[in-house]
Amino acid sequence: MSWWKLPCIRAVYAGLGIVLLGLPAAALREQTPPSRMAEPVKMEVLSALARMSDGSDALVVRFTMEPQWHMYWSNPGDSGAATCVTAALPRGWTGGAPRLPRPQILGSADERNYGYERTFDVLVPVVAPVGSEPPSISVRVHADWMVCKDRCQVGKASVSVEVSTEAVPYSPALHRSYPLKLPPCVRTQMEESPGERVLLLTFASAAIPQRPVRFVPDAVAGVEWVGGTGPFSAVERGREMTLRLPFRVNARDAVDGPPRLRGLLLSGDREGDPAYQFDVLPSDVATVGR
Amino acid sequence: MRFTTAILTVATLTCSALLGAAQQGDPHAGHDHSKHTHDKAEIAHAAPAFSLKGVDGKTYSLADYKGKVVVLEWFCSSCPASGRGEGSFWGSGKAAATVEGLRKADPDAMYFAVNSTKDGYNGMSNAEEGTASAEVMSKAGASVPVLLDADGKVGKAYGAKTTPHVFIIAADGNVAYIGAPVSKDGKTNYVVNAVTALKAGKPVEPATTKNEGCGVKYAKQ
Repeated sequence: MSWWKLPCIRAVYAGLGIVLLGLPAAALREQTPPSRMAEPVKMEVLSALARMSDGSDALVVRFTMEPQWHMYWSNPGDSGAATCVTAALPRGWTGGAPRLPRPQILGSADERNYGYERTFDVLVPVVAPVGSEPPSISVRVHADWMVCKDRCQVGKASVSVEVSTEAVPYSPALHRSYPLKLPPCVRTQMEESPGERVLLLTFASAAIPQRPVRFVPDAVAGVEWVGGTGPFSAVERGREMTLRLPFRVNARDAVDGPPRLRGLLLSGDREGDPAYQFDVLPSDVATVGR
Repeated sequence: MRFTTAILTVATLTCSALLGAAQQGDPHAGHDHSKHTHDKAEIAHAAPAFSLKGVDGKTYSLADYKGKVVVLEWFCSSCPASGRGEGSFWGSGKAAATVEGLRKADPDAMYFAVNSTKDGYNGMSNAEEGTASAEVMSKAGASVPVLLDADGKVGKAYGAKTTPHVFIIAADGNVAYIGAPVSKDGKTNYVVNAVTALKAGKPVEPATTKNEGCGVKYAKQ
């Protein structure tokens, strides 16, 4: 009898066959095709569009990390790298800039980072073409990221998926973590003196109740916030709170267009506390004397 | 699957503007140019002096390169943005192209890799990490001196935060560029552009860019 016909060898072949046949079946049970990526990050595109509280729809790209690892906001801080997501939509569909949730302030005073632990969603706003109501659309999502704990890994993934256009309500709790428009009560002014410009954000203490109130700058080419990566804390005096944010604009470094003063006003430091988007051109801010 | 390619959404999560040391509290506190002390390298200010031993056993001092452009790149062999893997600055061939471009732009310019990784990180001493760095560079086809900064004093004096993180010192001894070696899309080589501009006596533009990468694993002081 040839050795490969021995019963024990046949059993090994049978076992291998079962394992190999079983692998594709297991993969099909995933909600989306498993992305090829470096551990410890899993990226998935949810199988249906999400309906936001304002009635708009978004594609949800969900990142899930192993415990103790973290990924980064658009300004990673002192180290790390921004999480970048791109989505290709069918002809006629329009997409907005991906929205990242309010980041956590991570690290120590020596190395400050802005990012996420465990899980977070990147929302890609989408609008269907007028008169088009397909039951689903084909999308291709690509993402690049860096994930770190005591060491770092870079990762990327591309997935092509069919997404149902029957939008399901997005979790209100999760939606609260996305930056809101800056309340009109926040007064924005500029102090200018030779060699120094200071952005002043002033508001009634009661208008933004959660403490602390901090400013986290976004990374914008050509803008340098004096004092480093932040976060910058508001100072409460009487019934008012003020953030003094000295900055420099280096026009020759503004490789991505006119430099904007952009960042988040964080109110409180607990999960679900609000963040407000701040984004202005320096020239649009009224100047006051010192 | 039939898929009409209309790429409509692009994340514009690009970064610039070098941001220095983190600081909590009122950022205006202590902000006074007349009293300002430079706790890190700053554009158009004198570069912090250093004297470091290289993996090759030689001692390299900034003072020895007066009148020459000096490029310092903070490096770590185990960082996937810096030295490890095909996507890293050195693993992708971008670093070798940078060194080659630098030598064409200014044959007198010096390029050093600085390793400020603390002893014991990844089970290696700083010297072993430096040797591993030199091996990565040799494999990439562009050997440059690797300087050992085990106590991290030079890295902290410059304000090096990531690997990679580049500081270019002009022939007059002032810092001319701080940031990433190349743009995120890899299309713009900031180092070669800066050295070319310096050689031509032109201003370096951009003089700062946002650096990304692994945090430098400094020894606790």
